[in-house]
Amino acid sequence: MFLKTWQPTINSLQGDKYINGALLGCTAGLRNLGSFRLKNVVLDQKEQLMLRYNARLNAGNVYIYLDSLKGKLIKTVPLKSNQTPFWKLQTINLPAISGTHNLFFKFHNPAIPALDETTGVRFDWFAFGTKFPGKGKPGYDDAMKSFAELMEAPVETIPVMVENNKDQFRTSHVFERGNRLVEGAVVTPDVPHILNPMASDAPKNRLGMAMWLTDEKNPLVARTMVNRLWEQLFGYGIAETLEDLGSQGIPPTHRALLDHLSWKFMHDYQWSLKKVLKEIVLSATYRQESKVTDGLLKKDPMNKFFARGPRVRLSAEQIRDQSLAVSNVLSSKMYGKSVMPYQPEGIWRSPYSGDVWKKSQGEDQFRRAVYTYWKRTAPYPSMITFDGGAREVCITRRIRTDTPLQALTTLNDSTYLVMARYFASRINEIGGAEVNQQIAKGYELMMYKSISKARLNALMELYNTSYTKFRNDPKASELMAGQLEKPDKPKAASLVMVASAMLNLDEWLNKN
Amino acid sequence: MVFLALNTAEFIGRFHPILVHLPIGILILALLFIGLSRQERFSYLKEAIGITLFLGMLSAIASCISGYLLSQSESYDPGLIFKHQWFAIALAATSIVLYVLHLKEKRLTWTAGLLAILLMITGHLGGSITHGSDFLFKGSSAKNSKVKNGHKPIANIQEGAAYATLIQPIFESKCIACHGLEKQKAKLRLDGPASILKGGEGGPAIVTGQAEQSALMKRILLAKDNKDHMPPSEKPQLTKEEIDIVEWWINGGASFDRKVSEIQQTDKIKRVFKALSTDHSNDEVSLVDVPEASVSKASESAIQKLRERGITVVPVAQNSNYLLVNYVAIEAFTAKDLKLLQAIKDQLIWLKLPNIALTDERVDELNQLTNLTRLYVQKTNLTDQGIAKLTKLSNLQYLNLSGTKATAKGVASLSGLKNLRHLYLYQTAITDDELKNIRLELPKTNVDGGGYQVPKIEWDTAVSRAPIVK
Amino acid sequence: MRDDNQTRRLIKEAEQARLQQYTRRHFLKDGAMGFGALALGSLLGNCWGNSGSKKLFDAANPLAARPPMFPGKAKSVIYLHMAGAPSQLELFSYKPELAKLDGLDCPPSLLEGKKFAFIRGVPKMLGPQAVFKQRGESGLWLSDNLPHLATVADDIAMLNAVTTEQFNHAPAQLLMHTGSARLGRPSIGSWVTYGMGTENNNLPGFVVLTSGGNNPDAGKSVWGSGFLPSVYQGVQCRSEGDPVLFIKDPKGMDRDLRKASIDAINKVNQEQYSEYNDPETLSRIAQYEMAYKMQISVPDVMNINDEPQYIHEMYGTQPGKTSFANNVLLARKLVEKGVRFVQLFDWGWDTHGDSAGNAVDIGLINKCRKVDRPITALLLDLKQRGLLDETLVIWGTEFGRTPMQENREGKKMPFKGRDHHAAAFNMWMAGGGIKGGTSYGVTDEIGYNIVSGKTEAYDIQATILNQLGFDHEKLTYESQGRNFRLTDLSGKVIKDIIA
Repeated sequence: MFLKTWQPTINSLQGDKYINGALLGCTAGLRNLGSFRLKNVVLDQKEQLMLRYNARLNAGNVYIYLDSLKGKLIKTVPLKSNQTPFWKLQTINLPAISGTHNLFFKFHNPAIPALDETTGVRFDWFAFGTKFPGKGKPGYDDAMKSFAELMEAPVETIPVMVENNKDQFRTSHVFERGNRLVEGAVVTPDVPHILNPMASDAPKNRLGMAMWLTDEKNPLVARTMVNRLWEQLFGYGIAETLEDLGSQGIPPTHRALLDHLSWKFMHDYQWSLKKVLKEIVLSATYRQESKVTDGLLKKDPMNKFFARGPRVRLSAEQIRDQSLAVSNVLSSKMYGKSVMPYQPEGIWRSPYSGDVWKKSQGEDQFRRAVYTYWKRTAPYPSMITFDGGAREVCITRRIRTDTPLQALTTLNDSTYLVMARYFASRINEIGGAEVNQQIAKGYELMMYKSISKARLNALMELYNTSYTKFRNDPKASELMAGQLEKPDKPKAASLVMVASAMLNLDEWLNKN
Repeated sequence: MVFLALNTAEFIGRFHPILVHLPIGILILALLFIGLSRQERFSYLKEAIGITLFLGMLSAIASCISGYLLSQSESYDPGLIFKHQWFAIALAATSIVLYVLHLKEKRLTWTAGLLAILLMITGHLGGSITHGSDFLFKGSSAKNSKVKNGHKPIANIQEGAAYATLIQPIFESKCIACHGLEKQKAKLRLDGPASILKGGEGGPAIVTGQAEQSALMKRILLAKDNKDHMPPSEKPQLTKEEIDIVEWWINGGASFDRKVSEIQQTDKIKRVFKALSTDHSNDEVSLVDVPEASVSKASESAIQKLRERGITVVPVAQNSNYLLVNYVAIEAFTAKDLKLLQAIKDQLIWLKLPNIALTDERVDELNQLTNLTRLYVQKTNLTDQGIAKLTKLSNLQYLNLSGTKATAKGVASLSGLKNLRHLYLYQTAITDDELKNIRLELPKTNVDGGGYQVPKIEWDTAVSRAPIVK
Repeated sequence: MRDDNQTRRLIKEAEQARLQQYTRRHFLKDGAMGFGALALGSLLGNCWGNSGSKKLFDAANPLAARPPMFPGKAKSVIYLHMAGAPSQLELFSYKPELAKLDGLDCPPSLLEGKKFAFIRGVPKMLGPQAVFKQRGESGLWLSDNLPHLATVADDIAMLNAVTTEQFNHAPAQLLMHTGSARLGRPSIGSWVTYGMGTENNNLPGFVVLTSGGNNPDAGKSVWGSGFLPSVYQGVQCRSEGDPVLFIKDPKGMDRDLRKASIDAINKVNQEQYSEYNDPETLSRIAQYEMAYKMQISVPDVMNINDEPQYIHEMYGTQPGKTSFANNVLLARKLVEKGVRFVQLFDWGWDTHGDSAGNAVDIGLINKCRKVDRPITALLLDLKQRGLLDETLVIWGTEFGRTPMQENREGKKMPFKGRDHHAAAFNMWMAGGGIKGGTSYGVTDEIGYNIVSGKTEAYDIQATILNQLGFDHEKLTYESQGRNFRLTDLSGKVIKDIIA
């Protein structure tokens, strides 16, 4: 555990009382004859100290004093200078001391002048612990060696929250009238008393909190979750304000339904998302038609009361993903690094960093939208156009808008053109010989129902108009058809036109 | 330290302005009690008369003492002091008499009346000492001028005597109240050449030729919250222009007889003079382009018809029914589209027809729109004929004719528009000379012919480089 | 099998919810109107919540022109933001006292307790590196680095005492444009288009033009829509390449084909409407037609090549390349066509003195050459077209520069430069009902601190909204449980510079 997390350690951020030294960023830096203090270090049963440091020059020593700079010198640590790796680890044995003490660390390097301004040493963290186990047993040396190597290996670090040791807990006080200098009563972690209490055997930490959240007596988590699932399926939650089920939010339209589903979610389905989703999508409510009659329009324009099936515009990610899917190019690759689908030149700018938007190759450019590389101050344009979250602040609910820029995106974004080509190629292959059959097949693939006559006519008209144009313009055909060739370039180009138009249909962009 | 520095007597004297309020308040209260207690329902007040008179008497005596001490330390007009002092003593004496009479349960009416009169006189005299003898009626004097910046435009600054025209009025309005005839704080008077030059307790007020060294200048320039700053922060301050003028005058030798033109003037002071001499009294209150009278709401269907054509129709404000209409986004303009405006002719005040095929004939459609205050017809095919028709729009304040075929003749016909304040003729065939005439014919209108240049200068194409270091 | 406890709990919760319907916030809001209104308020309380937040706009047509709260002089705004912080001491802030201190050590009183971006230890003072003169009838102090602007000095209202608390680019830009140094809030242009839409629906209502080689540090968030619907975010238009992203049809498609395809799409959609009857479908049809129109109107307005030669000379444009001058000319064209808010960002003003290009006596002057002419041309051009009175022009930046020479890491810099200075800097406004030839605010003799007339970003935002006809305290949007406004919790209209 220590190897993986480098915890529990005392970080140099906790040092104070700097003399001739300062906190440099996140490390404690000391000049020659500088010192600082680590407060309240528990030394009981701590046999060794592992230091992570960087020293500029050789011949420096760190002196560790107990309780004060004039206190007992418990250890002298000679430092080795190093450039690579930048951080060096040194393990020293500690004499047995009991109790909690302040430790003073002083640096002195006789080789550099006393008033030198360079930072002689930097400390990252201090790990007080027990010795590496198993001394004397066979394999100890090897194990010790690999442990040391791994500890010093230059790895990419990701900050992860890990709970401190009990002896590293700080005492929390109530601040009188909010003044952090006036400490009131000591308090311990707990949940608000007006809500259901924590279980008596729940530890007062995050695990205990998780247990409390999912406690039978706490209806909130289940209701929130069900409400959000409902919103994903229907476009609006039972309580519209997903982010606020409290008294200032909008009350649920179907209170009993929410309670019922939450209850089942918690008890019958044992928190299984799949099961509750199954219940909802198999319900009569979900399976209603989404046709809007005049009466419904008057009484419930936004379908808040779910008197008809949901009909809402799909989210930004869904629009991209489904067009990829129907074109048969959606990559099923999961996990891993983010990818960079096509973005026109000069859009993505990152001042001060050398980052460049490099289009991913092969199937990576067709991965699901969630894998798109995201930079908050230079977001992927078509996601934002379709109301994707900018991720500047946490949003629970997205607002759906309808703008001409969205139209321009699905019409002209070359990603969609590429998708249209693949789609055209697909329907050309499996749709049959005639164009109208192919279009019908395409529609069927998209909408899971057969195409109506009027629709087919409109799309055929487009095909014919396009063909008239492309037949006489080989260059344009070439540009439009791209890599497609069957049955010939102009025909392929015309089919691409139709495919692109189909990927723009209202019923395609909406859930209905 | 301060206390030690001050003479104790002087210190007590400085409590006079505070103490003086006590006898005024308490004695008036006593008189009130005396008067009211005569009535049945206020008879309980009789009990209070005694203590009130006693306290009033004591405070009156204390005020007299402190007043006397104060008069010794400060330099005040002896005449005013004399009157105030003796009336005050009379007041105190009367209050003692009144008290004694009350104790003896004699009739108080006459003495009370005398006390009231003495109170008023003494109080008034005291106020005159501190605020000036004309304080009461100062507000009603005809110092009104409709001019915005409070200056009466000075007709011919350059020809006037510097001191008499410029400096004296400044001192009179901002300094003389405490440094003049009636009061001479710090023994300084600024109401005449001799006394200005003489100075006061701290030495001469000005050093001729050196404004920076002059005590007067230094005091004026101190930060407002500095205790030595003049005028005192609660009194009217000198304006920036006034400070500039005083500085210029002192630097120019602090002359009392030379004319303004004879004293050297910097660019800065020239600007100040220019501002002073402009006569703003004839400035019109600028016309507001939304009529004050209210109007009923335009019909929704009429607005809808316009919007269906891609024409923007929007009220000018949320609480107004007047409308702004913009044809900039219209699809394929035809003459019919102008007819649609008839239905909203009462509400339409701002109309934008930029770059529209608005011919002279079609202008007829605009005749009914008499509420228009702003009309934008830039880059349309209007000629003088069409422009002449616009004279029917009597409320027009803004007319943008840039890029049209307007000529000087056509524009001249606009002289009938009494409210026209802004006229734009950029990119028309009108020459600069013709513009001059137009401006004469339309004196109230700001006529902008455009054609502004940003001249090419050498600096434009130069390139700044780092000096080459060998 | 229902647990009795659970049921009781749910009932209790329902009761509590009913009682808590009146939270303190609602109570205080309604209480101000009297207790009679309290009852009315509870009846209406849910009405208000029906469509989510209190929305001003029509969701089907969010950018349609809407009236301001009161008639404002300005109908459009052009905001010129010089990203990087130009040195006010070399442009607008005349400090002869500073010249006397040139080369001397910076007094400790100016350093104690202050944080600097790059200055360490004791820097030296740097006198003004430009010659200043008073210009126009108003006597505005302008340096020789802006000779063209000097000719229109009487049209400008100078703000001498602008201040901020942020001394780094990104948070300072965010503060200036969104009212908060943190991400997530809408920019001024978004608030404006949210409040009053735009007069020409064939063009975006809020357009952004960048130049100088890079986006501003805070990225697209400075023209983002924050919690407002994304339709109100700035649309970045480029003067080379695609004017608006995806405005151009794919290669091989001509306009007729594009029209044919949109017709086909809309025909199908129309058919679908007859089946489903959803008004959203109609809205989508309208959006596609609008997109088609925009494909014509946007490239049309973004094309500066059809302007006459003398206009190009006036602005100093460079057709074919990206330049600030091109963007300024575009801004004028956009405003002529009714675009509501045009935001320009010019990068490259961060004169620390670490290179010749970043020196206040070399690079800064070259930058000035690029902007002085176009800005002057803009003011004159708007004036002659009769648009200056209704177009509010703002020249701004995110903070100023120190009167001290920068000494990065305590070392001497190769060139003359200044570090970031948040406490005092300059901005100016013109047009749109602003009184030219005025100035507001005073700084001390070396331009370090403000003496009077402190102006914060909120005040500038409040003034912009005021000129357009909005009370900045009343233009709000509810998000995360409370009403937000651009100026958040402060801001006063700067009355001194308003005509």
